[in-house]
Amino acid sequence: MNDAPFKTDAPLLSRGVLERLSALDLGVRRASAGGTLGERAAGRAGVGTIFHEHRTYTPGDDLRYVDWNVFGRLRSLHVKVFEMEETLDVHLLLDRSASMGEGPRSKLAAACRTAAIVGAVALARGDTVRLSLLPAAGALQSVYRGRAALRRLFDALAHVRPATGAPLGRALEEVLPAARRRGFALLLTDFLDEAVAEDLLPGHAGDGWRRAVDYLRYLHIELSAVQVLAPHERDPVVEGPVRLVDAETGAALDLDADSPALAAYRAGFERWMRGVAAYLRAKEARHLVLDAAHSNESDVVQRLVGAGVLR
Amino acid sequence: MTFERIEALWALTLLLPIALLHLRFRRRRRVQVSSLAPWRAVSGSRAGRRGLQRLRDALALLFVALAVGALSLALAGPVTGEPAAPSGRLVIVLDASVTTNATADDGAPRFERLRAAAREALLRLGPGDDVTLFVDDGAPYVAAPPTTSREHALAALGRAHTSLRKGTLGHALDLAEAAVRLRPPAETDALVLTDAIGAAALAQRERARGRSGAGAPPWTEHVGVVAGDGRGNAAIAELTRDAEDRRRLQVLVRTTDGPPLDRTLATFFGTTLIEETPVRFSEGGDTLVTLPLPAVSETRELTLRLLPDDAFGPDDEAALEVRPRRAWRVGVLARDARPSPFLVEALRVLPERVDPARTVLLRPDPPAAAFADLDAVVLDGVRPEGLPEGLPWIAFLAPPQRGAERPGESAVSRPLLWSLGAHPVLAGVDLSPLRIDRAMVLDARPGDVPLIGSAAGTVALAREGAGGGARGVRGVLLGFRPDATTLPLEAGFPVLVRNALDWIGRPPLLPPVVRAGEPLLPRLPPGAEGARVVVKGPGDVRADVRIGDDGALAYRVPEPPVRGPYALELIGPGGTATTCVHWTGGVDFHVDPPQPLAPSGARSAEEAVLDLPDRRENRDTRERLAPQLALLGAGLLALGAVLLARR
Repeated sequence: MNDAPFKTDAPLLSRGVLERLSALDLGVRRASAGGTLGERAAGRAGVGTIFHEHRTYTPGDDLRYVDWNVFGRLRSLHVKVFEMEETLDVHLLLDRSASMGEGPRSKLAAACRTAAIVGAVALARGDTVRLSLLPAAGALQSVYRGRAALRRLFDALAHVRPATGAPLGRALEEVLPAARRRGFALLLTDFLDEAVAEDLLPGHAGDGWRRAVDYLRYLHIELSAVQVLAPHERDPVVEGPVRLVDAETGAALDLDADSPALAAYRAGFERWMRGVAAYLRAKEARHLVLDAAHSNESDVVQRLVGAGVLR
Repeated sequence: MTFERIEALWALTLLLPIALLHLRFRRRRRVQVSSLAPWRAVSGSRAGRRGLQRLRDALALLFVALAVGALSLALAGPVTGEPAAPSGRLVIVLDASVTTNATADDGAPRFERLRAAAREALLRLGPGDDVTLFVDDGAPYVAAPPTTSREHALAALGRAHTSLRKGTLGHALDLAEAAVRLRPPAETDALVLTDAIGAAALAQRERARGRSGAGAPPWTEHVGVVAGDGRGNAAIAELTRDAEDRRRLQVLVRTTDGPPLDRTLATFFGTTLIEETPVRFSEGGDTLVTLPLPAVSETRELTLRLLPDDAFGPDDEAALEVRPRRAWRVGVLARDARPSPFLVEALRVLPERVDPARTVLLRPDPPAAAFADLDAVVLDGVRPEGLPEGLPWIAFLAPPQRGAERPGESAVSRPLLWSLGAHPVLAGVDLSPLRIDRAMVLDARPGDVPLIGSAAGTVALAREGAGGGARGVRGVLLGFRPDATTLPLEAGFPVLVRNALDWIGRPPLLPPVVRAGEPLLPRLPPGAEGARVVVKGPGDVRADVRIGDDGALAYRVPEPPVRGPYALELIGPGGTATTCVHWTGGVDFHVDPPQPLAPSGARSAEEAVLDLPDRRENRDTRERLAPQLALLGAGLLALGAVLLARR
């Protein structure tokens, strides 16, 4: 756990972690249409250095690619086809709504740390990292390429502050126009928004995280969702008569937090967690739950590797 | 309610911080959460419980507040009830003298009314009170010494009974007062229960105290009087045998109170009414009633009763033992041992008077022992001088021949006779046909009663001698012999003999009736030294035998505690004599006072008892409530804690 204050002049990740990250790659399952040549195999033929397949010679093919070993064996001409290598758009979608909190031990901090880890891996692989803060609140999507952009990425993540704005789904649509681009997205949020499944009309995802997930799927962006939760969200430490105030909306709810109420909350919260997992699973998204108070860099890396977000 | 530690009520101020704490904890803490979404479901499911929770909180506060209140009160030591008042002291003086035997105005015996009032006074005693019971029955005594035991005093009261002695209530009060002064001073009530006679005596005593300047008595005095029924009293004052005719009773009836209402004297053998004789009083209030003494074949008790009942019953009845007349053993002494056959025949025809089997012919000049078992002697031609003392006699004297009179003797021939007065001896005897050839003229001594007179003098007399300690020894002296008269030929001759026998009747050793309190002088026959007296009857009566100066046995019959009759036996070498002892009433007292009591002094016995403080409920009724309140407080606190724990 990174117990040090979240200082802007301190590196977001330690050198040891960075060294470890240099050996990792993103766990991308599908090729993306990065649009630019890069180092990641695109999974289709094109310009590249990675042998893809043999094809029968047709007149006009570049003779440099004829595989004379195959001719010697088969006494027919075949040319080598190489895999296209291009860049991957790695979307770091960071929920900075009020519910993510603020401070070194907050969910926001944990999310930023996690984003930094994935962003470092992506930049090390030559991918394009696109940082989107949700809600945008005027901030545009930041793009980072190359290893030299790591520091800028870290600085940006270190200065993330909570903001109010549109719900997650609409905010995502605002920052990620509906260009049909593939890519890899890491959605860092607590999945806590106003809409509960019971309140949504059938077939409607609302404006919250469901909408964001559905939108990313629409964009054919491979999604890995990191759910960042605070310990007190699974096991609240409240007692007696309380007035609960929503951090995002400011709405209040009076409740007598007695044992039965807390037990009901825990049961309902677990039920909700299962609902989130099921939804993400149905949308073919990876799902990882992080405890914001008990997640240091190494733990996060390990969790990301375990979830397949990194490999 | 009082409090032993009222300052502990300051603990009630704890209610304020409790209330503040309640408000503090009731206030909702503001908690910021990431999202209300997960809480809304909980809030919704718990919406119905909010009201219940508020109620529970309110009840918890109430229970805790009540617990604080209860515990504060418990600390303050609340006490209900009252401590017991100081114990009291009661002195009861109960009149049990003779007049309390009379009836009260409600018909009940006065003493029972007084005793009931005393019992009620005892029942009003409280725990720790002590009581002393004095009873005045003419000799005041302490029936119950100072005691705090109500049961002991009630038992002593139950044993008290009336006497037939005049009351000495003043003396009883003096006794009680002296006893009270001997004890440590304490608030004392004195209850004097008496009748109007006693109340009059008390009033007199009060006046005497006032004149003597004696201080106030050491108590608060309450006098309760049972009034009489106003019927007055008549009494059988005397019951004796007629001196002239022992076959008759003489009853002296006397009034003591009230108008001399006519009464009836009823005679009973057992429960069988024999006769009713009207009693009419003279102006002086006395009347003498003469009744025949019924003849009986066995000893029976004859009861005389004054009717109707008056206020005082004990003196309305007298009893007498009537013994069957025993046929006498008669000795006939003739000058030449040849008594007149007419005389013998006359005796023979009186078997109820003369026991023919035991009648003897005495030889001339018999020794004294020959007379020992005789009841009477009939002398034919023999003078009675020389007979043993105490032996009744009938003497027919032989007149001297004409010219043979001794000095002092005189005789009359063919006298004209007449009876002198009406004497029992001559009752039913017609002298008109009597012819006497010659009769001796008798010298009448003082006390002799002439029976038959003539121109020359008395020829027959009745004599009652006195002397030698024997009283009333009688004799009938006739100056002629039956054979020398026509008397045996007359039907009246046996009547004359019978009458004479009846009249001379040998006085018994004991009188037929004795009055309690008076000395009894039995006629002891010669050789009766060592005789003893035994009294038999209900109650414990002891003989008080005393030898008189003249050597005679004197016995004072004590007053029986329970009215008799008693049988008194004189057991001596000569046999056993019995008599009946009964009380004939002390009639020298008033049952009701001549003057009514002054109204200011008259409170009934029941009212006087009610004047006494009723202390039967005088007990320490204080009850300390601290344990109950502490228990209540603990329970309420537990309830409140349970409710708070379920929040």
